[in-house]
Amino acid sequence: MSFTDRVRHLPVLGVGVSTEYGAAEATGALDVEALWRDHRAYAGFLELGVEASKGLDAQAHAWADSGRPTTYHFLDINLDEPEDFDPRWLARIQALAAAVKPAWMCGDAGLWHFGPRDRNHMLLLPPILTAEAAEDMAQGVARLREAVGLEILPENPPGEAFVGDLHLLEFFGEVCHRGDTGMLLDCAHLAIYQRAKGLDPLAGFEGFPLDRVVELHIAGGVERQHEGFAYVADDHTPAVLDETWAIFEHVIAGAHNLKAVVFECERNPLEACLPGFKRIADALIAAGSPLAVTFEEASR
Amino acid sequence: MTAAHHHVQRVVVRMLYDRPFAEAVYADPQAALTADWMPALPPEALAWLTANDLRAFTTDPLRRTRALAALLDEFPTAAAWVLTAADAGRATLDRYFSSPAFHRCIQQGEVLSYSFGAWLRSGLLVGAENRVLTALAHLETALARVRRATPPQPAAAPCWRTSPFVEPMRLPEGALAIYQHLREALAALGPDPMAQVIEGALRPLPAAQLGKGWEWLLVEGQPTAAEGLGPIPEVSLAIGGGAEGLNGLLSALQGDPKTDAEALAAALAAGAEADEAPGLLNDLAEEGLLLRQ
Repeated sequence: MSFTDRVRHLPVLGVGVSTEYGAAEATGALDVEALWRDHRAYAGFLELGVEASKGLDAQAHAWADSGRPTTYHFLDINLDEPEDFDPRWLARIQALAAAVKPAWMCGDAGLWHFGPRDRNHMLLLPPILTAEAAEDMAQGVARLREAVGLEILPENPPGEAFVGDLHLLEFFGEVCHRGDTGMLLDCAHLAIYQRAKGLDPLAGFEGFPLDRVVELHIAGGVERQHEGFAYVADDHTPAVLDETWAIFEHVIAGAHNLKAVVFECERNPLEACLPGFKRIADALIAAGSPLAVTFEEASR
Repeated sequence: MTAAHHHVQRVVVRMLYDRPFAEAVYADPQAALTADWMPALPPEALAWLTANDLRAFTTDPLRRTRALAALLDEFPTAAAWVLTAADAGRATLDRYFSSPAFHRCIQQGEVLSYSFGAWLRSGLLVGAENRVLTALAHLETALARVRRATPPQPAAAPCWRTSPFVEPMRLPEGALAIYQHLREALAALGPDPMAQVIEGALRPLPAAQLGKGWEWLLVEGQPTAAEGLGPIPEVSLAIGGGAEGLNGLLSALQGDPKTDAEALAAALAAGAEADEAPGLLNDLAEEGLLLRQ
């Protein structure tokens, strides 16, 4: 079945939030249960950031055990390296996925670790932006899709240095085409890339297949200086950059297969995040997004 | 086969960890990437590597500090020995990230802990102090290997092999006692022992007298089953006594699987009598030191 057919079977999850192992225990962390109880329209699903060796924490277990929707965000696979798909890792993520029943898997399509997967090797770098790397990434997406029987949505990673001859959107357009896949577009990561390259926030969207965007991420970023070098750190605060909003609003106008939006604010108190959630909801409704219906359902 | 973009990505990692190297790449990428273990990169890749502002590679000033802290967790006694003997603070160990050993490890996709262990054994100190350092690093590298051991894949044909959770080793006489002394001393220093080691908490060093003979040790690991879908527990480690013949046999059967005939020959070479060799192999398999697949 092609992506066009497969995507029709994916559920519309609406707006949700993300977490990763132990995040809920941090001081001032987002209370997802309170979000679910008091603002259900913003708690359509919980995206579980999972490193297979760490597994699931109590919050992830509680959410999944209640039967509420989840997505599985991997934090430990270099999709473009066939040797990274070792049988033990695959067996472990299959077990994890069976427990939380995610609507799909997603995650940054970059370098999660140098060398073999090892506790001392973890990091996150964007891929080398070339056609050859896009081909290897696409093969990895298809390989993982086959192995776990779920849709795999590669995400554009953050970074400060980007290496290669393709624009980030050109690269991921190639991955989508060659892997016959949808993707998770992180608007904040893209804004960081555009600024790092001195480009307009919407540069590179010409020819980019918006119908491949199944999920979006929105997150705050902070401007930093390092020896006079200005860059944006992806800090997941509720302070979303104007460029990120511009990208979000551009994409939702044309992303007809959009199923989910995550507001990445997992380490911030709920009250501080509400204005961001409202802006996301207002924008989706104004754009006539397929997700707008979820706000009506949640208010019933 | 490793694709060109993987080689480029590994150079990027090296630039992130080693600013002088990044500066050298910017100054002359061709010259900076000439090590004999460095595959040739496409000419356009050299231009890509220098297309960003150099400072984009150094925005995380604590990257090396964090990586070193993780390595010191696995090499506490060797690191404490260096820090005390060299009296030069953490910078002595931080130099690893600018060493050929580090760059080769990253470029060839190897395990950082093994590379660090080998670097510690490469002559950082001199004389008797270096002999102790070499022994401690050897022991802690073996522990690192067993910590990462995984059960072998099923064999295609019946075979023998040493369990991957067993590392036989030979150290200079007295090395284990120094190791144990340092472990106890570090444990007594509280939650951040290395900070106190840098301040001189272990001075004077215990007498670094290693004997002229050898002691035979077995590093053994015991995997612990994960409970549910929580964190996978670490392999539990123990250091036990070995013997020359036993360690020789276990060393001979490490790595590739061996046939019955090869295993028997190794047992004989290790000193077993012909009529006892089959029983010895079976006993070692029962103890978990050998695998009979």
